[in-house]
Amino acid sequence: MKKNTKIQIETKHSSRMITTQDRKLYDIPVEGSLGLLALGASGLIQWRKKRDSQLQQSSNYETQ
Amino acid sequence: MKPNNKLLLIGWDAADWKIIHALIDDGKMPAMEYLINHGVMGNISTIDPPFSPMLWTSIATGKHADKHGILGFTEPHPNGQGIRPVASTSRKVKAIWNILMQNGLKCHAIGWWPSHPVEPLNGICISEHYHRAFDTIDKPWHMRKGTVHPEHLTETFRKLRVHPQELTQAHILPFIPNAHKIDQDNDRRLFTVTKILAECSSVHAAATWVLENQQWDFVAVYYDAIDHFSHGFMNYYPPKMSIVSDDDFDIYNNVVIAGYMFHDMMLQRLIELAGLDTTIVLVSDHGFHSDHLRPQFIPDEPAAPALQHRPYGIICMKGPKIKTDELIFGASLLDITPTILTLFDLPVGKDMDGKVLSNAMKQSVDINYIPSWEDVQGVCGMHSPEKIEDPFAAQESLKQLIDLGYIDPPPDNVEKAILQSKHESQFCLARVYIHTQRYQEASNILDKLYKASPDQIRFAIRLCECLFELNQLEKCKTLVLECREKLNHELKNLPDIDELPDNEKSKNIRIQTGYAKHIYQIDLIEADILLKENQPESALNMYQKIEKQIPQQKHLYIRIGQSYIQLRQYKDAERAFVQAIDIDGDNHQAHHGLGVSLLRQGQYESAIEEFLIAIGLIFYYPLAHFHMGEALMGIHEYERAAEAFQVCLNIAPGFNLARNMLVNIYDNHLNQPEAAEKNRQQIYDHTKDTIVIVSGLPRSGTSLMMQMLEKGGMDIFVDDKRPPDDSNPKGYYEHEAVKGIVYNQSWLKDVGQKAVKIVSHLLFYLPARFHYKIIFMQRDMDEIMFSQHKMLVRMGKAKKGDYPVHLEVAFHKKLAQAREWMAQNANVDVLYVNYSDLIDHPLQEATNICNFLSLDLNISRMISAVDKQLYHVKI
Repeated sequence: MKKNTKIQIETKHSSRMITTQDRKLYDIPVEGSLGLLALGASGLIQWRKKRDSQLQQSSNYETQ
Repeated sequence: MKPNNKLLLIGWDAADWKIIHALIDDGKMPAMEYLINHGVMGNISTIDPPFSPMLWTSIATGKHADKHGILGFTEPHPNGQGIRPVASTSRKVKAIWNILMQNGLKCHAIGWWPSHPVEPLNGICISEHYHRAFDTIDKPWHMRKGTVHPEHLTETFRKLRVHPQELTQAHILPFIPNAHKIDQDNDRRLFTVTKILAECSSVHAAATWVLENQQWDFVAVYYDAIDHFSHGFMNYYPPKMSIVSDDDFDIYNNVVIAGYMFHDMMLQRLIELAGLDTTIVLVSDHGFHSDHLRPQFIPDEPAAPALQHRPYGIICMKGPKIKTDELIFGASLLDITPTILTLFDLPVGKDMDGKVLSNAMKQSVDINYIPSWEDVQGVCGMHSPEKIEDPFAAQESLKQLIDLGYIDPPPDNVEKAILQSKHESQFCLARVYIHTQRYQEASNILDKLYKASPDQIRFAIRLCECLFELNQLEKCKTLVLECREKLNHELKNLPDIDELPDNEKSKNIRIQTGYAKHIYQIDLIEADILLKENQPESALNMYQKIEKQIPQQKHLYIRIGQSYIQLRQYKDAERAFVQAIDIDGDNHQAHHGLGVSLLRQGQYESAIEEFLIAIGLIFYYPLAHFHMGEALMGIHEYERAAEAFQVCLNIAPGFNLARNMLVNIYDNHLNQPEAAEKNRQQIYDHTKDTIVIVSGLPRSGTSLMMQMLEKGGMDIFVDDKRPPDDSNPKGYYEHEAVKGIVYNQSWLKDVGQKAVKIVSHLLFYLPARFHYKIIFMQRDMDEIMFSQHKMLVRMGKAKKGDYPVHLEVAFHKKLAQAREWMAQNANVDVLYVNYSDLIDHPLQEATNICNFLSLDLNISRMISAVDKQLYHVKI
């Protein structure tokens, strides 16, 4: 585990983005991370969004 | 919303400073470090029994379990057809969120244990069943009715749950880097980790959603994961335990560490969402042994895993009204609710058992009280009265209907489970009574329980503890004997572990561990009885015998130390307490005992160090403050000593021994007669009753004085065990209990308005909680010695003419000490009566006595007791 997870939620709106502490956009890993779980609802929602879209893409690719 | 007066209460079940400190030192818990640096931290002492549903309800109500009604883990289902986890409808009193809601504050409670079914708060309430997944991810994951309030948000929260099978290696590898080595067909521990992690992620997601999307003044959120990680994996936490295999250690040694670090990450998020101006209170209900005190085996009995709990949890507070970067002492679980009420400027219920942690606040606070919040009417988000029910009473009423034939009885196994649940909850209640020193109430329950389940030695052992405290020593001894016989019988019938199949070994080891624990407990009680019966040498022998069988037990060494202190063998006592500290450096009794041993050896500086450690562990420990005062007097630090005695008195206002020391310091060392007088007055205010004592050396006329008082109409405290003889033809007027005053002073409360005879040598052991009027008999020392000698000759214990001259010096010395003691103690009034004056001028003396006692005694009858014929040995 990394010593300190430095990711944070930028806004409180539905279009919320997860950024690192130096304000760069955090590239959400498909497999998720403890840091995202620790962000709570927002992190969980963002991770699932990414995961599900990836799954959808894979599924589309397989059916093509 | 009130931006400057919001409070977030976070519960971390079983969180322990020992692990947190180590991780902070390694930079692995930065959020916790932030909280500590910007607020206060300290130990929080748990209460007994240390069972989480009871403890978290005490945290949320400020009350012991006998008041709040949550008694254990399960309760009978009110429909009479089984048992269920304890329910929020069984809580009889308001929780903090109910009180705050009643005062117009917006409150949310997430995952509190127990909170199912959810309460109709003005905010969101999510029950402790919210996050439990019982099936695989491909099956529907239902949510029980009563899990979310308001119900229309059920769908929102349903989606925020994390299923264990959703987790990936990105989540699991930080906990188990060597997860690939696990044979998952035969080892469920990896699944356990994912389950715990998913569950706490669900709770956290719900809590953060509330903080982000709801208005709030108060949020309480409870995480059980540290407790679950600890119960499942603390045995693999470094250093490796001997019972753990190298492979298991290699795979699972990081689980607990990662669990704490993950909580720190979640804490970071909560702090961010709460905002800078919010007060954050982070508490655990107990700690968890993480070192050599980890038990190797857990007995086979209900709730036995609680033996892994450490008695100190954590408390950490940060906020606008909270001090920064300071330690607080003396916190208890019961203090959380009163403290939160005070932080919201609300009065504390006088029926609450906790206190306000005012030492955590920046400025001194005016604490307001009301008799009880239970009497304050208004909408508070509690269940409606018809929903709140005592499950045990409901069970009883059902039983009656079953007995009458209106309802079919449940199946045998269900009935058995209900009965067991009932017994366990009664046992919990008895333990609450023991913890709060209500031994008679506890004894009544335990007596019934043991009669109902005579195979349950644990009920009998607790009953022994009560009988011991109630001074019913004969009954206690009989029960100890009975327990020993039963245990010996059970042990004889135990199978040989080596001959058992592997799948049965573990259970049998646990059964044997349980028996060994019980034998150890009854051995200790037996030795404790000896100590109480004024046989410290025999007690010590027994403790040492136990030590040979079961070495390395801190409680044993503490008792050995206490025995040596009673025997005034302070060097030996010191050695015993050091042994206890070597086993558990966090034991306040051991540090205190060591301090007393050093104090009595004149090593004042070292003693002070030990008292400071004891106080650091448990601040509300009046004896430790008292002895620190004594040690400070030893190095002539009178002002600091006065402070120590004052703290002692702040905690225990009736501790008049400390007040006497203050009177002495102000009178004789600090030259503050007004302060001395103030304390002298307070002694009178705080003494319970006045006890009339007749004292003096043996043969100084004490029996005569007792006769006079009796004839004058005063009741006397005697048991007539010593019959009259030639030396005292009218009787000795003694009570057997007096001889044991060195070790047991509890009988003094039974003296009441009677007069009791106590020889001068024993006056020093009178506790300061009473006020004493002492009629002290004085007689010519030669006459006393001659009379004593004559008596010994009559008893055949001395030869005629073999006069012990050397004793005179010792008696003179003892008399001088008694006079000094009587003069120094402000709770003592004394009237010196000269024996020869009494014989020669009985009227005058009897009148003086009546005036001294402020009693209207019959003087002429008093005088009639004086029989000059008995004045045999006038010299």
